[in-house]
Amino acid sequence: MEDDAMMIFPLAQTIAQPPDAAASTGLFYLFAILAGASALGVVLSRNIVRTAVFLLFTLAGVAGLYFLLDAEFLAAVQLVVYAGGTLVLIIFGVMLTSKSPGIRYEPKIVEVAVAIGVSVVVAAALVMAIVRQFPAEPASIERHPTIAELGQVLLGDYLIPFELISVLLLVVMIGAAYLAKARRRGGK
Amino acid sequence: MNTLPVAIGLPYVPDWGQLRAFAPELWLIAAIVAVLLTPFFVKKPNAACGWVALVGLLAALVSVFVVGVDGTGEHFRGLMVADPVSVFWKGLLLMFVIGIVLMWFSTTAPTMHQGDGPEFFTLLLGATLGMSLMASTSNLLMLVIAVELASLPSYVLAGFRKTHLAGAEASLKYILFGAATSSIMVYGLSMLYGLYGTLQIDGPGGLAQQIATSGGSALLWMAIFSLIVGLGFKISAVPFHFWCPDVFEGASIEVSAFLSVASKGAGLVLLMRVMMSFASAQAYESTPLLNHLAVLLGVLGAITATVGNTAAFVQRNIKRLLAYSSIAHAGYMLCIVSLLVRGPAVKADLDLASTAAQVVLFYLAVYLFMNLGAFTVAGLIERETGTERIADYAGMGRRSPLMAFCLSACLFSLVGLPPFAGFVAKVNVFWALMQNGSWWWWLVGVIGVNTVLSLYYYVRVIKVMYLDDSSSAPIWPHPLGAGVAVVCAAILVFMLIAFGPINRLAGHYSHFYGVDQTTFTAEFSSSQPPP
Amino acid sequence: MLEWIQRLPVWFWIALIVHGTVLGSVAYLILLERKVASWVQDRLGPNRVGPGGLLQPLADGLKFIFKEDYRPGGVDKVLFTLAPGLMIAVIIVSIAVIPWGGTWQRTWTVQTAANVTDQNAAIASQIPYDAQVVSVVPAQQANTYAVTFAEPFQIASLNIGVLFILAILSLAVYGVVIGGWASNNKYSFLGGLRATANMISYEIPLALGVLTIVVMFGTLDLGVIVDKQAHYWAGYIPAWNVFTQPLTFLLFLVCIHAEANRAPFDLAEAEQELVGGYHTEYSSMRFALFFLGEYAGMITTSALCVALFFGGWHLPGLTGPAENPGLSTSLWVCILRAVVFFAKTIVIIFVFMWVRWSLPRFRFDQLMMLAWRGLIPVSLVLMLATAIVMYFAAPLDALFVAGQGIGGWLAFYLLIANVVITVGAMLISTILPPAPKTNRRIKVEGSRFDQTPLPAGT
Repeated sequence: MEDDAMMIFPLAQTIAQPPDAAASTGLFYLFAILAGASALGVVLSRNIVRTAVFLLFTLAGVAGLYFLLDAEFLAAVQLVVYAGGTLVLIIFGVMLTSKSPGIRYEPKIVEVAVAIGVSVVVAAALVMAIVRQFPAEPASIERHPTIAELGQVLLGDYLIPFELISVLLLVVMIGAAYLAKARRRGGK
Repeated sequence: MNTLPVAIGLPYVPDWGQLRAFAPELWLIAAIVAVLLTPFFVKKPNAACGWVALVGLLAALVSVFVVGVDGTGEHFRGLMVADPVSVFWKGLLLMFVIGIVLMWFSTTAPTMHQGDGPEFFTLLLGATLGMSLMASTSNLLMLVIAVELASLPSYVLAGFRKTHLAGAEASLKYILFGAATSSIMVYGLSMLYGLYGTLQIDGPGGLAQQIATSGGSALLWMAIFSLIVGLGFKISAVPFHFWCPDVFEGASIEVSAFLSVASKGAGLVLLMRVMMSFASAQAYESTPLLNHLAVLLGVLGAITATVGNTAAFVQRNIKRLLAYSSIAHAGYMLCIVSLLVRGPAVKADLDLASTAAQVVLFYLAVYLFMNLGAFTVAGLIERETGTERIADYAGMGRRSPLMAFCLSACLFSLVGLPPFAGFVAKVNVFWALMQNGSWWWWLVGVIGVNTVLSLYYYVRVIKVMYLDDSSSAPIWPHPLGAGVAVVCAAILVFMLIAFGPINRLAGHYSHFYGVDQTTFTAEFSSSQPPP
Repeated sequence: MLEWIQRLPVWFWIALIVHGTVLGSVAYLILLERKVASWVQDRLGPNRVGPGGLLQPLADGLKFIFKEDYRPGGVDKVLFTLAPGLMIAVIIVSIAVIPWGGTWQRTWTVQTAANVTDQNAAIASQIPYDAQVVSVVPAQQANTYAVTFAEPFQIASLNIGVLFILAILSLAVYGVVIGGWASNNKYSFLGGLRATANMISYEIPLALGVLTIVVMFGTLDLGVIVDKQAHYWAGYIPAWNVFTQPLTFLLFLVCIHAEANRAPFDLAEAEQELVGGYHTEYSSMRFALFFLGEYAGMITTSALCVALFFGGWHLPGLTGPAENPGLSTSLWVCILRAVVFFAKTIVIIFVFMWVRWSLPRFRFDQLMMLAWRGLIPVSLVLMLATAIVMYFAAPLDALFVAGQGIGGWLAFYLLIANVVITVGAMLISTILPPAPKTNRRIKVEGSRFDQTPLPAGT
């Protein structure tokens, strides 16, 4: 009976609806707004700890977008490395220093003008590029979703960078450990 | 276009032939490990680590000569290249770092806290590794890794003297500047990847070729700007040079010397490679993209040279003076790099572009020895007298004639006066610029004025040493350091005498892989006539 | 109407039930905690509200709700409010990938219109959500088909399940650290900092332990990991990882204790030093959310532990066909599996409580030492050893080659590797140089270590 069915419907195995389009669009906007709004918060917030927390939500929103793009591994790594790793250290540092004097940074009007100018130019170039160079309809994307394949690329084509990064990390770790060593008393 | 270079699912074990071309790097990595293991066997590891590092560097240097250039060029699936330019640079770099280690023995070693040696040499060798990798990659990913591997240890090295407040400030400034510029660079490179879907700069389907076919766009220019920001920081080109004087002043002397040549040279070689790829992909035609790039680099170079020289006028500290002088020299070399992108207005071809590369390589070789010599003498004097102020050099001609002579030789060479190799390097620069004519005459003028300006502040030091008198006691420099200084001065004279062969050597090695494969292999076997 | 409900995806129901159960059971876990404490301390524990104190959680809950929601002055209002929410949100999300009951294979009857030519598309259009179709069988009536789906009996079946849990759990630290900072209280802040240092240190051996299991099974999908444990060695020993990797299990158990910030790792809320730690300033429902987060976090990590080391839902009689033991056509079997899974989880949680009331708290340097000098090296070596054993022995293992898990001999080799590493670590630890003494007694002026006489007039 099974074989029979397969003969009539050879594609039965692959019948799979795309995930509910409405829900997926809704989630897209949710994550996009989360990422965008908290990115604005990062820039506009005057309180440095809040800035760091906003950054957390930006990263989480971007991770959510990765999930929607079926890049689950990338999303998880984004959470582990950036949200769960790097940002913890940032928040650590920021919280330990946020009560010290001189933490309020009041930019001069010229600096604000320059910053706005640069960001407007960059944003304009990006928008122009997106409008011009990318088609309105997304091309069908070839998916390389599995971690096994990712691992093989890392240890295949990108073996040398992979190994060199370990040297880089070793050297930098030694440097960081050196800087963190307690300052000697009475030394020269 | 969006696919990965090779079919997925092929794990990759590089064979011996691939690894052989990178023997110097492997030796450096081995030396890092050996340095880290040294404290397990030696009670007082500082000097021992120095010797281990020295042995590793010597092995790497020998391997550069043994391996030489292999004709295959591309390695590790296109991620790295081993071409004449990279080999030449590696040789220079390793020689220079050997000099730095010798300098360390004679200047900082006695004052370094016992037990800090392993860290110091790990960082030094790590940065060296990064700088030699910077010269031998044409892949964006490797480029970023190499730049970071060169930068991150340098930040720590700049602040290595933990008890020096100036060192901490320098390190912090360096980190903040470096982090900002390298993040801008990575952002720009990600744009390049987004635009063209490949990490490879040269080669078929590479960035350079796609840019040649698709032409410029606003995004491309942003990406190029950000690349120049990142490399400009390494070279200390002018808007990104602020770290340079502070770091040189705050860091211990051998670190300053290391950064002054190695960081700049690596950045320049990498910049040359990228620009050369762009130019060759567009067949050295007079395209708007290349024209603009050339003007951009030329103006950047002119401003850098001018700012460096004028700021050097008011310096009272020898390290700051040398810092600004190194900025000025970076400016001269940037001017030449602008020639790479745009072949001459009269006749566009590969030959003159590689002649520009030859001029830069020769300049780097000379610059290396004059800076090493100057910094060594400054370090030796600082060790004996504890001062970095130029005013305290008074009477040095009497107190230590040898040191005063070596420093004078290096400074004259830095100005570009005969009988030192700086002279031919400078003449080379003028010659190359004049060959191209057109607006490069402006650069000739700017560099000419700058050379005259620089005469003042370099000679001022010499004047203080020989004409100002002081009753201070004579000093006896550490023999090892004195040896390094003397050798540097001697080499500077020798390079002037042996100018022809050395310049030919530089010409011989001034070829980039992937620029033009047929000419590359054909020309590499035959030597270039001297200009 | 009924049709519509029946066609809701399975994960929707599981989400409803799991979250209801987890949040509901937290109240009773607190009761259990107090009971365990009372057993350990040889007293009765709560026994006044309801029969045997069973209504105590209800009373506690009411108390939380009716307490004044007090917010001290000088706090960062936004972050103060955000922190408990962050804590609980993270835990709730991380439960999503726990494989409660293997795969449920269910069948629908789908009727298509008579005049369509592309039957495949017509059938596909009637499937309301993304489900894996196993077979489509024509029924007696024309244009009617029996469509069989394989539905993972979990909220979300991700192929990176383990990594997802690790990623989400790594965010759990934010609730603690932000809450501690926003309270504008030095004790709270110190508690938050301690919790952060604690959690990020123990995340490393935790991840390495998980990686060891991943190396064994070659997948990050928790459902597959559980399925591959659902058979027997030598006929009757269940093929659970705890038997092949006892040392890894031990490390993992220690790490999840630390991740939960519970005794003996509860430096973040050490009463004797920090009043209440990061939640000192919290009261009412905000405090309850922190409490909820702690216990729900325990449930998640214990469930992960069960899935990785105790075969998940696996019990004799609950397995499906040999080639795919996770499969079941009966909804009841799946539900029973979920119950078994939850029961195993409760056992691990009981261990949590048992440990909490039996062991004294670590000092901070001991805490760090355990992670950095103990757990991380050992777990690295364990992972390496597992990888080596798998590399050499796995191709010889028929069961493994067939993709059905770890066979008897392979399991034995892994066990040997674990034993060897345990013994080796014990031997090496005797010859290792002692750790630097970090607990120096700094002579604070006026403290009991300071023997200098106080200046006159004080």
